Amino acid sequence: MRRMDGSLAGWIVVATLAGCVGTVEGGAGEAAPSGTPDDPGAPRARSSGKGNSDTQVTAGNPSAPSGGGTGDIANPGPIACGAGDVGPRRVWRLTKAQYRNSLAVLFQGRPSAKKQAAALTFPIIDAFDSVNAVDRFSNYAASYSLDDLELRTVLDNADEVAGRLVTALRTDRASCLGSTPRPALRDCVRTLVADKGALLFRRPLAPDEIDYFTSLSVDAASKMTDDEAAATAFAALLVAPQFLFRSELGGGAPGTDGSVKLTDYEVASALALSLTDYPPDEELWQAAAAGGLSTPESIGVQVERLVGALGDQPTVLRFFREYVPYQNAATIFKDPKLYPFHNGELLVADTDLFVRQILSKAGRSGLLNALLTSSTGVARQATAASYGLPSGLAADPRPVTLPPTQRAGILTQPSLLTAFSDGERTHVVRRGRFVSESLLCRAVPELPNGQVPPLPDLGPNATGRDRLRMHSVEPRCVACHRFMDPLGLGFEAYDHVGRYRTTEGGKPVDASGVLSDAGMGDGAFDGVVDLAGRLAASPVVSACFVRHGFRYWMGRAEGAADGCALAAARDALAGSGDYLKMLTAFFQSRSFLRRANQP
Amino acid sequence: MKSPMQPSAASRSRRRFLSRLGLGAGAGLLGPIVEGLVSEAQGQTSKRKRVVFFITGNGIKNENFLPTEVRSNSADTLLPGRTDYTWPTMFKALEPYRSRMLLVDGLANQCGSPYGHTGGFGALSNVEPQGGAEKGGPPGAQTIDQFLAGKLGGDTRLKSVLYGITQTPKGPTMSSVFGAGSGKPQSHILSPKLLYSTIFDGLGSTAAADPKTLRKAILLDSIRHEVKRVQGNLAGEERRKLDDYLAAIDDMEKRQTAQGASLASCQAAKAPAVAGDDWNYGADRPAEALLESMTEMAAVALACGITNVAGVSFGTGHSHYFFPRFYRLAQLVPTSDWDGKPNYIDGALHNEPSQTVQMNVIHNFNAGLIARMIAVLSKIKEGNGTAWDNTVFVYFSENGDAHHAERRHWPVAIIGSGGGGFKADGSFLRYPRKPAKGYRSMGDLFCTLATGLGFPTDSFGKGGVEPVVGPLTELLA
Repeated sequence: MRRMDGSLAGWIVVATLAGCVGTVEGGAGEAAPSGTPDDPGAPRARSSGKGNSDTQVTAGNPSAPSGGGTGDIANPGPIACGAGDVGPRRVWRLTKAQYRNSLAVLFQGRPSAKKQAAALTFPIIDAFDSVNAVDRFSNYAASYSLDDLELRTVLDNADEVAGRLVTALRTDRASCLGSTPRPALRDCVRTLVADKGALLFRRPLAPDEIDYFTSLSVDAASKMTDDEAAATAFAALLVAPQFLFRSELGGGAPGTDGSVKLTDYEVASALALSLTDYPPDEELWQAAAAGGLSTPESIGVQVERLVGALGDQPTVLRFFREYVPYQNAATIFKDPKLYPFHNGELLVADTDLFVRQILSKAGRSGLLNALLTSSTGVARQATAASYGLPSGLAADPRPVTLPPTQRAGILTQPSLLTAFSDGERTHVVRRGRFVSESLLCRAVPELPNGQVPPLPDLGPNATGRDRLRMHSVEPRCVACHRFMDPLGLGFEAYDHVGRYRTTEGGKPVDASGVLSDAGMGDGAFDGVVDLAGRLAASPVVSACFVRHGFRYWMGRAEGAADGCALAAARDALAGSGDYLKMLTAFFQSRSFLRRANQP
Repeated sequence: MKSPMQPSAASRSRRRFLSRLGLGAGAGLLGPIVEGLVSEAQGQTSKRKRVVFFITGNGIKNENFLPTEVRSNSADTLLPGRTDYTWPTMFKALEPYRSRMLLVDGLANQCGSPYGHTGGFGALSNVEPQGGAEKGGPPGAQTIDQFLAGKLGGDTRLKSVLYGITQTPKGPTMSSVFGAGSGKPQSHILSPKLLYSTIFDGLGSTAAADPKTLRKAILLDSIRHEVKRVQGNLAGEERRKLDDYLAAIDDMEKRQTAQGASLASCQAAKAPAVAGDDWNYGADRPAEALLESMTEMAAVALACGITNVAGVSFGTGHSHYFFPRFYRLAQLVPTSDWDGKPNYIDGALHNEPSQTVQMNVIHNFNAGLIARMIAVLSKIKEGNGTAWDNTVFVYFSENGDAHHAERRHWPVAIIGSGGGGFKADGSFLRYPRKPAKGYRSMGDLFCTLATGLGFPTDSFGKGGVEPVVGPLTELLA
């Protein structure tokens, strides 16, 4: 056994490729909350959480038994909560959206209850498009640094933005650049650096920072116009690491465990950027300034306010798009001659609306169950055939009732079924792997290089099940494919463009499969509707969903010290099925609020 | 001394340049620069070795690459170089240079998932990307283009010029195949405007004369100052992020005053950065035209000494389907009748044997771009010959031999002698295909490239996916 390094790693225990017998992703887990974010207190342990003692995730335990199942997930041992090192201090480069929105706020001020957040009104070179995600989620902090090409981009943009800012300020009589008579350059720039700098750095500037950025302008004034000199100071703010990187350094006195708490401004920044892609709004800024982000309750209020309606929040939808990567359907080529009814982009748009619909109706109650079992989809005239619906649908997307024996929840969305298919045929292995990894949190190793014999060509009438038979008899295949194929074969009632079917190659479709490691509901199943119902009731699936939520909202893989956060979020979700409570639990946790007190 | 900010002559020049882009007419864009260079460079005695990596996605199939004369030969034994073969249609545009090319098959690099869609960053490194190629994880190691950029680009304004096209660009840059080091992807440019400003902005200006250049110097200093302020609180990977930022600044400063690009003609195209979304393609702005424009810029950058290393990403990426629609090339393919809908030959993406014609058109378009670069470099006198004599182009797919590739044998074309380092005699040769005894790897090819360009090594890519023995002597002069 070895522990994968990096990212997702943190907590995945992977079997050796040869044996492929230990593909268990150890959970992080069940633990009693201990202390508060301000005083994490001494570590303590307990053996079971509230209620569902048989449904707990366990803390990752590299020495846990590795049988390819989830024995350690279902039967957690005593896990210390509050123990272990919290995450390191980190910086997290802005994303493209955060960068653009921050520039918009620079010109238009912080949004507030009375002033809606606005978009940037002039063109810039889009920076930070290139994300090589370490894990499935595009917002992992580790994925974001800054290379020489991006440096050129931010320098060019800084020039453009600073020039426009000076132009705007010159026409603003309330600004020292627009007033008559104009005060001395040093005084004027000093005021503006403090004011605009706070918008960009997402905190008040320290006096020495104000001095430094002001001095850049004053020094440059002998070689350029006053306006250009002022723009130089602004441009320096725009390329400063304090702007381009979110800071999670913490401050103040260390707690009894030696960790430090994020400052209120850092908390405000993290909440705002994570939940809205914008820097802090006026309410959050005022709360930080007043030291009002120190308690779980105050954070909970802000999270609820910032997220607003779950179905309307793009950052929430993004989680689902990346957790269940149905958007890949738009990138799978289908021959339009053979499949003229297929439109990958529209299917993705349908599923976006389906998810938003679920979030709106069930986001605060029974989310996971609705996501996996709802037979109310969204379709339109152009996509009706993909769902097996009559062609008389409206041109615009509308909620539709799908045949309940054929469609249940997101697993039967044509977009997802297409996303896990090839151009011409279904991809049983990928479909099964998705369920195994994303819903059951089993880690399936990558294929060993050069050791995989090709599947035999059985001719055009062979079914997917025929082609994969070798996986269940060839020992080298069985070791890993037993975690994928028994699940993926259950999807065979859907072709590679997501249509329901009863025959394949002239033979009746066999959509039977076997579910294992789900904690409950294990055993033979018949088709995805049956499977989805079992998954919706599975405590393992619920815990796995929480874990992916942690990764997305915290921007990193879970580690040994995150048991409390995961347990609290799991309990929040389990009690009511409330997604907002789950993500609030993350932001109230020690995992979010504290950092190791060392560089 | 003090003048209000207003559009400069350079920005007007930029606008004229951009207006031409809309017409999709890259050809001749920088012709006057080239003509100027031809006269200025007469008598230039110094030689500079250059290398261009042209990397296509989607694999290069046997049906396109293998000469018919060798298809019946065993793939398990070394097929020594031979020159008596039918020239592959996919390289028709390069046929005039046939005697200075090598076609090589059989080299292995089984990075990425078997039957997967991409070798990703492993294609040019022989090292598996972090998290697997298919997931688009960061590089597992530095790629050969950046290794050579470090060697050949010490005194140039740009260490390398990397650009390309992709299916659905989300911005002016992306990264998918080039890597600065482990965990450090190297972006390439999708926007002609951005490439233009990257290559030409600030050429010939000095801090004393140009407020923009002066400001840039101030900004770079300020970044360094502020990074140090923040960095003290960080360690490990977090500290590395800011180290990367500092390294980018150091590199930019060093290159600001770099030699090369001193010829007046190279400065004729300077212009400030302008925002925009010219990386988006469409029927009125075909991807082909954008790539042509960028290729001309890269050719001039190579000719001017602005860089010695270029990399082209032609639809490479960590997804399934990275070829854009080819609005112009589609007109050359006699299969535009798919239910009355236009066929942009992106349908060739699966690269089936039946799609050989489409893929030949696509590869030959790329061959034509290389031929254009050769034409520019051939005009530049250098030593007793031309810049082309000191250049080598390397063409292969980041996915080896197929759309769904095992990557046991990578078709590779080496074009040019790179200053005499490579054999370049028109041969086709094939190494035993993995797992046959004596098979060789792409890692060996990378060692060969480094060695042929004057930086001998037998270890590039060692410890990666395939065993690395050392340079392929059959390819060296």
